[in-house]
Amino acid sequence: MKKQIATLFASIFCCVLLVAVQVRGEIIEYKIPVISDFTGSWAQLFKAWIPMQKAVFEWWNDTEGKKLGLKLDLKHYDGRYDSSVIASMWPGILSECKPIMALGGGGADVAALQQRLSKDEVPVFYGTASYGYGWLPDQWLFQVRPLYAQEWIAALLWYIQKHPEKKPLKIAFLSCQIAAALDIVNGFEKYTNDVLRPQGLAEIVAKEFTDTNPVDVSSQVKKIIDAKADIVMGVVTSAMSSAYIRACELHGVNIPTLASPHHTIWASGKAMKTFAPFEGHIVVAAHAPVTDLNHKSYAFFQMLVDKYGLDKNLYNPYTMMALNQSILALRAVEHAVKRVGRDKLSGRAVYEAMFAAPFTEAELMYTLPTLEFTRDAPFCNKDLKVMIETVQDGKYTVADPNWVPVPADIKKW
Amino acid sequence: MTLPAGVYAEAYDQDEALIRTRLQWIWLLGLLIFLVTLPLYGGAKIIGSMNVTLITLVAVVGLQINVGYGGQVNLGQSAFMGVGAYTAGALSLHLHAPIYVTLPAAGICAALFGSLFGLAAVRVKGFYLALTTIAAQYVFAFAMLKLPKQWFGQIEGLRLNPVSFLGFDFDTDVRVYYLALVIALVMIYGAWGLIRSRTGRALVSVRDNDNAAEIIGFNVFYYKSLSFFIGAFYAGIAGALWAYYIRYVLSDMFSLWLSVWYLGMLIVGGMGSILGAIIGTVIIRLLQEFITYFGPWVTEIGILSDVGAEIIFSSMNMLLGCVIILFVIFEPRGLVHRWNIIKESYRIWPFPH
Repeated sequence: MKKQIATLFASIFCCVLLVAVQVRGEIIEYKIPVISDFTGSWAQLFKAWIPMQKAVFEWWNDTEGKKLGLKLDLKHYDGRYDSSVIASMWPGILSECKPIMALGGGGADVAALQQRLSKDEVPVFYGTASYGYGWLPDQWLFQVRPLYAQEWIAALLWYIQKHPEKKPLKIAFLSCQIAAALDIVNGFEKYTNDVLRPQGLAEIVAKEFTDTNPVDVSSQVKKIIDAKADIVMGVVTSAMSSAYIRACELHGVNIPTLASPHHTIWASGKAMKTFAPFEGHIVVAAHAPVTDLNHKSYAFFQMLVDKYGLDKNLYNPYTMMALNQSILALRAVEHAVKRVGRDKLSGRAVYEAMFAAPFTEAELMYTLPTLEFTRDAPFCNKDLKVMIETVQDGKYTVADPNWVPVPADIKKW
Repeated sequence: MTLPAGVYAEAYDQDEALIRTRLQWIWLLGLLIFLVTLPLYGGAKIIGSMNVTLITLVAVVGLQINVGYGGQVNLGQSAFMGVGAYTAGALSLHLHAPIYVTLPAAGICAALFGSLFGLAAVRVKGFYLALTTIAAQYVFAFAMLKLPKQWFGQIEGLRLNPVSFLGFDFDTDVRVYYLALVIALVMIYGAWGLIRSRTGRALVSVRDNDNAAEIIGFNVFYYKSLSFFIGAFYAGIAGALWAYYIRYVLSDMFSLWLSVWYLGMLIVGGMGSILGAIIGTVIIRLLQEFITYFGPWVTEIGILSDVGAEIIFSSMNMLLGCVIILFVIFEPRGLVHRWNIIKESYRIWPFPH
């Protein structure tokens, strides 16, 4: 009898083992290359990005991935934010990872890869906003946010609505002469001159340029003050933002800036250890606000903290970009699997899935609004919405609890 | 050129020849066979790295002529490369010019741009000249962003189709590799010929003592400008290759940082030697590639994965910096000097060097 029971248990054990091995064998693993910057100009930013990407992928592998029989492993490469380094290593990445998609870092890899991705058939996802010169059809690059200029125009219209006494609003630019910054200035300038000025809503009164990382901008700010500007736009680095605040203090004024969250308030405020100098300044982005801890996206972040050991201090504008990038990329894989099945998953399948169906706000864990991609742009260009944040009584907070729509009449420049 | 004992020229042709001995021919043929057959066993990773290495090599050899032979400090090689890239790109895109037109045109435009900054070399030297060439970087970037959009695309840059030659498209990494290899070999051969010519000797004399060179009859102004012209011509050719490889040209790609790397390659390889430029480029590129590929691998190893990729990558870059510093301290004449010592020691063995 004992022998029979032992045989029975042994058989059950073998069966369980067999099933386990079979189930394990069914998991298909893919390596997802991440073009990071550990040692270049954006190294500090990526220090915050990487844990977020890792946590989101781990969560997905444990949940949706398990259901689909997929495991996506991130593999980081140091592109040093240098086109030559990225161009050199990309063929190796292709042969080593045979990627179905990749996570990109920024402009340097866009420059190095954009012309070859359609042939390589690898969609690459980005967490930042887009630039006008990248507004091209049939791109294999996908950006979670629309153009910086679109986001800023939406925020400016909101600002004009809140301050009707300032019509026409006097806009000054303080920016730098790099391609990315000039693109924002050009896009914004065109819209202001074509649409806002004829309606008497806004006009450009000054355009000042400085270094990308200036030490002092007091002379430029003096010109802006003399032009009686109501708002300053075009600040695209935290160094520029800090220099601007110092110049404002020197001249005894506080003209608010309008920028992206990672460019001004959060980045410089953290360095200054106070948000007070940014009183009344606004930041805008087409993703959930990091200052609203009641927002549904924060619940998702909190889950990542609780279950995947993510640092609780990582809910900020930097990491929001990594979160958005990762979640969109993963949902794209899910859409692709739904369309072609798990076994036929490929770069092209992920690419095609981007246009097949919209990505809902709930799918994107409420960190992004619903996104519907079309082939005419590498970003969602339909029903765009943004969130606006500000500093009120020294506290970095939400300026408007609702999504603010982006005007649909913004044309290419 | 030092030769093994017993090897001497009996005719002018022999004396002028670049390859003198049978062993040298064997080595050269072996190297060529290796390079030509590399795509068969090298894999995509190697070919991708080789493409950038070959393009870099052309620019660094040009810099060697300018800095190593001409003695003119140049921190604008990357900008000159950018001029070549934009020229080739614009001619291909707007005029559909074939590669045999765009390539020399890229070289000449870059050379003319380089010569402009070379004019300053007549009046200033050393750090002052370095600053002038740094200005080239800024002038280049500013010009490309401000010149009419129809020419160079301003902030949008230039997007190119694959280059073709006699109906053959260079649209894969391997095909671009062969293009870059042929161009690099031609340019290196040209550089070797140039430095052994009257012009090469004049450049060296101006480098060693420009006052003395003028007294013995060399036009110092001409040769200083010429060294910039030739160096920038090489950069222009490298830029055109870059444009055809990446198929996208934007001023941000050609940064001052790249020029500094090129100079670092010369220092490690050895100033005043074409072989030094080749060795320096290959060694630095190998180290860069080592970091690029070894880094991700290290981050996946057990306990090291906890250290964090940023620490590992940063450490490796520090290692690369240390290697360069060590070279400057212990072998300021570069690796080519070490190579020459090894070669001489081998030739006179068993006698001590």
